[in-house]
Amino acid sequence: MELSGTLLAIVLFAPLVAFLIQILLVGRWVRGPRVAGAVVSLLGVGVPFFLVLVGVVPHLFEPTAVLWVPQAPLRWIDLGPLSFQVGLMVDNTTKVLLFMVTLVCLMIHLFSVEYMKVRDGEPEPYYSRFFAYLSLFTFAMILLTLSDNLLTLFIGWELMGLCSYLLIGFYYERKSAQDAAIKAFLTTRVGDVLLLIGLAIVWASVGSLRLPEVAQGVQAGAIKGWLLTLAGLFLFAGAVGKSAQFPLHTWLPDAMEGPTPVSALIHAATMVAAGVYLAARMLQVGLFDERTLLVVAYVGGFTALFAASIALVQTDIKRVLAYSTVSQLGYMMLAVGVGNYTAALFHLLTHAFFKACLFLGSGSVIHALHEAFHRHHLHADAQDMRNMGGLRRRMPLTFGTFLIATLAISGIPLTAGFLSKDAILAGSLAYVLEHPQHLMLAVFGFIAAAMTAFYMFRLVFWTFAGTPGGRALGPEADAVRGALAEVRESSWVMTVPLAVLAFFALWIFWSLHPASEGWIAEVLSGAEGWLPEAAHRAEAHGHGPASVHLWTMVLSVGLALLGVLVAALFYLYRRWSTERFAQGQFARVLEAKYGLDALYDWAFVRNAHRLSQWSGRFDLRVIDGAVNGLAYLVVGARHSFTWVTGAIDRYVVDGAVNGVAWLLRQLGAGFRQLQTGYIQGYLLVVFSGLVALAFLISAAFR
Amino acid sequence: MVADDGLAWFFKLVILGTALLTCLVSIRSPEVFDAFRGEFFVLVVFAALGMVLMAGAANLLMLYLAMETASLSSYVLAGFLSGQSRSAEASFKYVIYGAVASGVMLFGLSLLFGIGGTLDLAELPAALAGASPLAVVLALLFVLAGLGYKLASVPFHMWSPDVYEGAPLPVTAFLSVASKAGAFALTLRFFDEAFGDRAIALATQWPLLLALISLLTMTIGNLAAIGQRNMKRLLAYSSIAHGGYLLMGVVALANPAVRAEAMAAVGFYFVAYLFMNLGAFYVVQHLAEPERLNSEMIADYAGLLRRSPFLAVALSIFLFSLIGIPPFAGFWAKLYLFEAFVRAGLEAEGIAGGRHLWLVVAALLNTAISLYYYLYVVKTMCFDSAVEDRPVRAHPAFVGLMLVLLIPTFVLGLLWSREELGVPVVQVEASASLSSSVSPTLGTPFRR
Repeated sequence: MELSGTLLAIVLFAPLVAFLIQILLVGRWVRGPRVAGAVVSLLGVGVPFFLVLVGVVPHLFEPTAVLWVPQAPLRWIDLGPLSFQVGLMVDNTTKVLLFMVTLVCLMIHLFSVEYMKVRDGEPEPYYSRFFAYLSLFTFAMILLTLSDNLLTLFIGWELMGLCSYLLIGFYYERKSAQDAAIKAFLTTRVGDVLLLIGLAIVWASVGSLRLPEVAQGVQAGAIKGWLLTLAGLFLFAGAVGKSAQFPLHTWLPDAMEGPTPVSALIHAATMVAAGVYLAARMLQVGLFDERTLLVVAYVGGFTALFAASIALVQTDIKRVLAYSTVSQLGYMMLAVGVGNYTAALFHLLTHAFFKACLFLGSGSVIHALHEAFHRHHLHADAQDMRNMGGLRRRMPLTFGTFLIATLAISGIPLTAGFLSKDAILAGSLAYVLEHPQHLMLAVFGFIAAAMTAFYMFRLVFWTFAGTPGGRALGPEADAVRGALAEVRESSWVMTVPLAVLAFFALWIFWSLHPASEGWIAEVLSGAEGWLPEAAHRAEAHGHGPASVHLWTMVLSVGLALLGVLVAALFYLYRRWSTERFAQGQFARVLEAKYGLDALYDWAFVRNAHRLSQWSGRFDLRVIDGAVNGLAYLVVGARHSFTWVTGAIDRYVVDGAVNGVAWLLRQLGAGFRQLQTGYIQGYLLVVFSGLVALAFLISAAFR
Repeated sequence: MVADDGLAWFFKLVILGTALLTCLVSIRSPEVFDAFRGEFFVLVVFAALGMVLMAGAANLLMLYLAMETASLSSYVLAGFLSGQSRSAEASFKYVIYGAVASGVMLFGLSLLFGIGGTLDLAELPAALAGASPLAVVLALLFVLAGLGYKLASVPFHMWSPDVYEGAPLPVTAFLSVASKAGAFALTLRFFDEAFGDRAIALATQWPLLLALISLLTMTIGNLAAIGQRNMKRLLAYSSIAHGGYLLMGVVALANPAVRAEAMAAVGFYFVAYLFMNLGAFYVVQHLAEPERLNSEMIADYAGLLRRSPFLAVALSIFLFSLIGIPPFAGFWAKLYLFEAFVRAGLEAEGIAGGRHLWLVVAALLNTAISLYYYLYVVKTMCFDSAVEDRPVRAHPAFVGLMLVLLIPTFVLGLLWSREELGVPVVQVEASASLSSSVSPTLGTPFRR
């Protein structure tokens, strides 16, 4: 099928239409089977997927063909000399991303149909609302991928943030879910505000936010030197917030309070990867200069190692996966930082599939356990890996797909993860060979690779191997073991998505040769048609000599196997005991997540609470309803004045004085008194006004 | 006598659109319906005729006659509810006030004619060139009394709250938009053609005078709106305040470099204003009908969000737009207007009135003040508890009408682009160059 504007419009707007139907119609008037909501959303993402499959994928190997919709960008918000021009763009990066986004979204929608049916043993009361949010999210993500400009990209970015907030807090009756939603929203907001400043710098200096024009502007030197670095750092800060990089990573593990499909879609496969996508695009158009790139590389590399180390000691299955997501996103940032655009996007794609598979697999396990525990009236935590074990035989399909995805994330050959991670590590090794002073970048990557294999296999061994409930603690331990023996494999609605996603975690789709980057490198590293010639410096980096590749392979596979072996010795064969380690200081530091969460809580949350309580009291006393910034200031001034005179403090406390609001009301009352209703009075005002103005004028002309 | 250019056509569309909506709404208005007489529509049409002529008047005499045509029909419309003393009183006040204002204006016009010896606006700059600036500016002041009465600008505004409150609601809405649109078209043309000349602006300092009136109008309008308990009166004062903002666009004419932009900004403001102000008035009218709230008092709107989510949300959106909160049309209208004014100031060199950036600051502060009373209404509707729980149902036809007004309020600012839709700019420029060669049907060609 021809790749056309109409097709893109349908791909973009179908999920939005689904969202509108859901939120306006389904929840309100359709009383019958609530599955109607799911069907609308499935269509809302299924149609785009089908269109992408027949309309976009066949055009993958036309590297110079860039589609602009509309041909000339729309002038949207027009401020005279400056205006925002918006449009859609399909280049190679967009094509592969579109395929990934629509497919993963479709699979996760399908999985949710079954997974979301029950809440606490009752039919889910907000079933269609859940799907409405998912549809809105899909729209936002597609908008972000298709945008040819940073303005609509930012709109999609923020919409995703909103959906993330709504979905993390979906189980809103849980305090922890509310807190996590707020934490996620506020933490990413820090990055978003900085991002907005970065966009403003770019807009002010280049005069446009369209990617091609930005690329040309940067090349023409419209923005350079430290201003370029500053803009780059601000833009990167947005990516740090969204992609949960150190030091703004703390929200992502907490975001696991949301339903598991949400964790899979938003907090693993797509939204958090948007930060990497942004960083990669910035690399492409040249907004990241050498200094910024170094920062990006170090933040990414450090995050990869840092998050992996925390994942070593987590016991909640979803939290392990969350930290591993943070760590993998760090890998992608590392690749961007060393200028390896292709590898960053490649890993983004493969990661989306195998991480979605891992999350959905854990969802399948949690779902089954929840059901079993509920049947036995147990209150055991269905997400705690200590309450699992031996599920291999009970849930063979889930186990099989989960294992494939685990092998992929650990970087074992014959998987997609091996290909993409290898590309990243090879890129960083090549970079280090060129710049020996940045040796740490490669060290971060390789150590984190070993850790990844270790904690992922720890998770697999705890969950699927051993005896059912072998590690269960507490008074319910025996009952848990009993319940686990009755766990059943999930229905096909949940296992089909698992199988599909697991397929894409294998090497075969990405490359026939199990050790080369395959077609994806060809598609992504081909020059994007819209970039100015010299902007291809992004492609110059990252492809070291073949020997680097070979050494990387040996090293990374060796380290990964070492990680698997150690995990097996600890948890499968139990040759070694973790007791001494678990009681040591280091484990405590890890369990406290290096104390960062506590530090933020102390530094920001509690002080913000104090401030808001204080201002809340202030509000109560001062303003009866309208929040009036002006009144705030004047009352403050007045307050200090009365403090000096020490006279009428009580009036302020009693709320009798409303600051400017009061003053304005008095003035208003004064003017109203002129409005007597007597026409002769009005005419008096007319003539006295005229005379006053006439005198004023005469005086001015004298 | 009558100009046929972009400015005129643009405002004619606004006026005729408002008249059309007024007729549509009046069909179902019980106020008009109960006392149904065919002359209501005739009067609306005649008033619209006067306003349309105002939009095109390029001659002092035409200007006066057009204003009188519009006024006379408006007087009768304001007193249309003959059985009600409130309406009769409004009409009576309107007549007396209008008579005085137009008398003063006529005096000013005759002074201008006496000084310059011509009635043609386009010939005035040359005719006034040698005259004493003081005499000219005093004459101008008297003319301003008449214009100010039509614009409802301080200190000639006092009729409007009483008339707006007393007149039937469709008429109030009509007057607040169409009459004001005609008056602004007239004022724009008057100052642009007769006083737009740099020398005259420098000599008479009229921009300063207008800036002062603008400041007083927006401030007093907003302050008096605070504490109003009747929704119609609140909207009347809000309409006065908006007139104050709009006068900034006239002040910006002092800088010839941005005159087209200033006119476009005022034009766009009126388009936005048409939708949001008519919308607000119509919701108030709908709520005032006996089978709904049967009240225009803000206090009775308490808990409206529960009783009628649609009407409450619609009114809130119109009010948000009137405040100037993005993304609603009112925000863009204000943005363009202030931007034109700021640019007039930045690009003016020595032009009086061009540097009055303080007026923008005042306008922004005024916007903050206006937040108070608009949001008070929203707060009453959304957060106060209702006295009774009986649901309030909007008439289906009314819902349709609301959508017609709501959708532009949402998307107008987002879709408007000066290059593509900027009717006033394009056509004002075009007519300025065309009119000297192609003589328009009725008008005397003008030079600038």
